[in-house]
Amino acid sequence: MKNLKYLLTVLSLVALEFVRLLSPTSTQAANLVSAKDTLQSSRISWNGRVKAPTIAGSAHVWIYTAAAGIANSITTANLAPGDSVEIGGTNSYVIESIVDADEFTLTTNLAAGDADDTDTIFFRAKPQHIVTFTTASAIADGFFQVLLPADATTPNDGDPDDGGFDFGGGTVTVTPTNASGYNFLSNAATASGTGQCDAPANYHCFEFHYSGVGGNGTAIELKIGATDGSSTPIAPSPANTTTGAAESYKVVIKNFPNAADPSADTATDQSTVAIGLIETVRVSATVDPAITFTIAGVAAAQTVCGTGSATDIDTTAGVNAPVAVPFGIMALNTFKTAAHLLTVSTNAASGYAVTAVEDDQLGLGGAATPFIIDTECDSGPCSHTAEQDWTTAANNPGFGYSLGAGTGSTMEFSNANTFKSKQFAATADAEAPQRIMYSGGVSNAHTGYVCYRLSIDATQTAGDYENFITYTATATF
Amino acid sequence: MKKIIFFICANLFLVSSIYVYMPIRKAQAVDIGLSIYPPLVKVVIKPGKNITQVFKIENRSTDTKTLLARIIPFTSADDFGNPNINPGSTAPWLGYFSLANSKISLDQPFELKAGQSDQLILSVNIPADAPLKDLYATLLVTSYSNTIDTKLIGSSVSATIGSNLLISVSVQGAPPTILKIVNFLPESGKYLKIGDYYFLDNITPVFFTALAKNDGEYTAETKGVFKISRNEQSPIELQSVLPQYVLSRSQRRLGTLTDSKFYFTPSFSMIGIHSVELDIRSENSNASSKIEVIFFPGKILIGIISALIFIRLILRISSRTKY
Repeated sequence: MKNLKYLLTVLSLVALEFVRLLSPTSTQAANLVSAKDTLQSSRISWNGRVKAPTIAGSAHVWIYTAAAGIANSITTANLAPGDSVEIGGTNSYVIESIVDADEFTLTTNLAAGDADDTDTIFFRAKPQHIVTFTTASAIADGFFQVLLPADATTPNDGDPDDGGFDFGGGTVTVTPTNASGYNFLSNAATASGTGQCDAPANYHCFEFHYSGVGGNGTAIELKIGATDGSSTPIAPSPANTTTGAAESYKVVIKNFPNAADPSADTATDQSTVAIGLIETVRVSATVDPAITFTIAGVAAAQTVCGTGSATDIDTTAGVNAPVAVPFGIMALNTFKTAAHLLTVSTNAASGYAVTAVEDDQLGLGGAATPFIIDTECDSGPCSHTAEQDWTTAANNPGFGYSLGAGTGSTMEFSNANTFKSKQFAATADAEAPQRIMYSGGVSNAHTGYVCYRLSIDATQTAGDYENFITYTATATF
Repeated sequence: MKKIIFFICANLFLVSSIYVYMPIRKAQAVDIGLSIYPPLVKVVIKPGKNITQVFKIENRSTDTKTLLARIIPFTSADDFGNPNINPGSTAPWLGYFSLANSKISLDQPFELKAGQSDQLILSVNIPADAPLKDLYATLLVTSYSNTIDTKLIGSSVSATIGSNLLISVSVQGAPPTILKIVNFLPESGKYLKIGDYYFLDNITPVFFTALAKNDGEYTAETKGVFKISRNEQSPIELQSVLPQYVLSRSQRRLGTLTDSKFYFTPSFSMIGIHSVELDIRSENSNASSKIEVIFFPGKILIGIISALIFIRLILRISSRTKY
């Protein structure tokens, strides 16, 4: 009886094993561990079009800001100085600078035929792929396959595609690294849709065949392409990209036994990894345009407005210095001269202008009358718009100004060594402020002198005379 | 001898010390200085909308300054982009502007300490029934003396700095303009005009000038190229036109990035008809102009003719002398 129990137990176990053998469970492919595809650069390619007024012989390129077909690049956001771009289908050019969102310049002029409307502009990003993973099974004498996403229509024409990597129109270099149990013998790189690489669809195929026993947990490294971009797949130029948001692509890595057909058979081990591609980050520093204007006093005994213009008054010291011109007590038929130094700096491209205006003529106690007339100069009359020599004080009373050259700026008129003078334009007489110094471009501390001169005769009523002068610096528009 | 050498060295040392430690100064360090950013603002705004623009002002003076911010309309003063700012001018639309600062208002004085900066938050509110046109104004910030010298005999000087505002009130993002290129000519005195052709010497540098005239109601921008070509072939010369604003109903001199003219130096081999073109294209304005010039060896021909005349004269005089 006891033996019968043992016998039944053994028969039951045999029956169970028999049933198991009749209905074998399918083997699931294991995941390759720590699989990843590290790109040399995560930058996408650029596929845009030439737009008028781009012309041959010029280094200035305008681009379309609307997409057409696979020409998806509609801003210069993914371009940078130094990039090599192909324009017009044949010739390559180097970008010198990015002007704005739809313009850039080249280091050389465009050749004839490369500046026609809608001519293609390609920047081909060619990052080397370094695929790494750890094996999950010991498959002797097998091979690895890496599938790189490809465009459905033109996967191998050498131009950036919107749907995936382009094979480049030639060959692609593949470089595996031998590991314990994996001695790589032969490799193959096949473009999508070429017969040997059509399943799954829209992938480029890269195979790495090895001899050896394989291993479980062995680190493998496979390289696709070269670091110099030669024989390397071209990164896509996807449509509808959001600047700053990465585009994701799936790369598949498989491990097959030797006799397997990778287009039909199931891989022993397999993993899918995602890679992200994004626009290049163009590092730039923006210097905001600004304008700075300063007025400084000038000491006495300085000749800054030509011969005979030596200053009598120090405008660097005293009450309200330097914004006062204190002529003080005047002697009859005698000049007194003072000066200010004006300085303007701006990085505005069109330059700047400084104007001057007085509220009214020098009035007694600041009132309208009586007043010291604005000068009419020597041979006169000079006015607020026309300058004349003013070198003789006697019989030529009045208040006026001359200009002296500084550095960088253009003065409105030359003192010509004779204290050429003008009247200040007066707002009380509805006269427009007059320009006294200017520049048509960027200026770094441009300077110029304004020299004030006063002379009175015996008919002038005694008292304190004053007025206000306003200098205005603005950038040109 | 040693005494003489010592005396010379001592004197040299003394003189150099005077130059090093007692430099002659024409002007004192800056005592009043103002800075504003940005110096130019161009915006397009729809009626019924409002915008805010922040301006940064800095007091670069050596002491605290009392400042005053104002909005003044301006017009185009010349062909070079200079504004004509008349402090007394006014316009009904000045009411669109205000400052959103809590402590600073337009036309009200405020203080700014030496070396410090502040922000002026300019708010522009365009009424829904505002006329569709351009508004040109300048934000002026003026300094004043903090104390009054009652004994002053002379002038008080104030520094003003301004930022120009080009505001287009429009329902379109790129309001239309009417831009023309006028007075497109070679340098005065260097050409001979017969019919539509300008004759230029082919070994003399020449410049071309042109104006962009805006007959529209909105600001236009000049962006384009200047080119010289022969027989509609590839350009012989190409220069980029400096992008500038042309105010409504005004004109602006066109130029390159470095000059307000287009300089060109022809080569000896350039003989015959050439086209000189200006092509301006921007989002809201297109304009082009072309003139035909004929380069010819004028100076060389004059030289040869003069030489022939002299030779002939010499020969004639020589023959008369013989007989």
